Amino acid sequence: MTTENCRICNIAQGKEEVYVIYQDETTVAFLSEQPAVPGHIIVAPKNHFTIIEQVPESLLNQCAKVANKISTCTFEALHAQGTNVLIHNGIPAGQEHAHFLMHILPRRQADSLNFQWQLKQMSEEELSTIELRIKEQTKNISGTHHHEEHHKEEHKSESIEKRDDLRVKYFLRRVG
Amino acid sequence: MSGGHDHGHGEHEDHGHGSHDHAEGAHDAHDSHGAPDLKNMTPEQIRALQKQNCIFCHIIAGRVAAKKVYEDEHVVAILDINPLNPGHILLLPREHYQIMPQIPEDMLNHLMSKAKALSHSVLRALQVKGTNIFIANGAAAGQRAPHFMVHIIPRAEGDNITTFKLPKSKIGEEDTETIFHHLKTKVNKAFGIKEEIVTGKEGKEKAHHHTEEEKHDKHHKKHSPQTHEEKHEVHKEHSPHKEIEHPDQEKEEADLDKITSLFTPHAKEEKKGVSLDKIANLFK
Repeated sequence: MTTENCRICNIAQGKEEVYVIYQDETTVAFLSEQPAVPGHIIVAPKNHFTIIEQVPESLLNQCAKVANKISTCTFEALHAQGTNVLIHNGIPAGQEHAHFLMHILPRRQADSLNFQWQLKQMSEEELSTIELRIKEQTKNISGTHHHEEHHKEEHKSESIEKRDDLRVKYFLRRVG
Repeated sequence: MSGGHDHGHGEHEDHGHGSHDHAEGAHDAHDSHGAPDLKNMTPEQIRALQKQNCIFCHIIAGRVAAKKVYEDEHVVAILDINPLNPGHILLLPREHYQIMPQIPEDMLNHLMSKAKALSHSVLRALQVKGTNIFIANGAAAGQRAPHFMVHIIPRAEGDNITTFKLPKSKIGEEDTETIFHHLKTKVNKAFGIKEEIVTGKEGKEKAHHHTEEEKHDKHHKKHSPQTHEEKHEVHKEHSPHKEIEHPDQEKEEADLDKITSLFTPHAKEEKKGVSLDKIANLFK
């Protein structure tokens, strides 16, 4: 699946010239043309998928393998002291191309990047609420030995009342 | 399960957790002061010590409280209690790896696969439309905890988080060439690819779909290592391209110095010349 106006698709199909670091049948890795740091590399599947949730498992695996090998190479090749792997998944996350890709960023002390962030304080209640909400979804992840500590959730679709009821029971248990 | 969270985990080093007994196996590997004697420890003992001091290993083992949102036989996912955004998940391998290069391929595949699934879970559970997936290998990359983790961070429109916005700088063509050459040499080695690396404008190439013919050629190339002579023969045929076959050591070093200096373009240069104080002191 490709799209006409997608720059990454064009690169993958050989319609644009870039510094290709690696490619195989399904994946391509090239130097970013607007690098955040020296040696900034983009790893992307040649086929067009927009967000990670759409990328087939085997293809995602190949991208991860390529990303890992290439980022390891930067230690020796560029004297990197560290590496970041970064995915912007979705517009609110800062995704700029509609084509799924991974950023590989070689890092050195005192370079121009800083991924430190402001830590948010959250209350126990807020955290627990989020924990429950997420667990309702992760139940569906295959290969899970999901430990349902409080209740076995039989019904996938829930009314809001039921969710509140669960929360109340959870807190009662902890308090009591 | 304890109710209080009196210590931060996530990206914090945990110092206030309390004393740990040293691992059983490390008892004989202490020096006279009772401190762990790393020089004389076996790899197994060192690994055991790492695990002993790693708060995430304790969380994984269930000895320290955490909000687990997913687990299976290989990985555990917990909520960061000091999140960048609500729902910030730390996905950890059960095994104590420190950085990505140490992780076996199958395990990394599993981690990426679950990162994808957790991203999906978070999109649904929190009704957001974006996630950042982030890995930091090494302190220089912002790694704070010694246990490898994948961050899955929910992002909402207007959440005012600029952490992952990447700046766009320009690196000159010559420097880019140097970077490209060094990187591609190493990457080719890592993937077992034997091909000459061209420099100059011809370094930029078009990616291509592999045709059946090319596949056959590549296979052939991989399995018939060329002699030095043969390589030169091939060079002659492609003479219009400038090629660096075996960069000499000095150039290599100079190249690497240049590359590393690119990381800190605003770093002040070493002060040259004589200090004025030194001159003044001569008059005393």
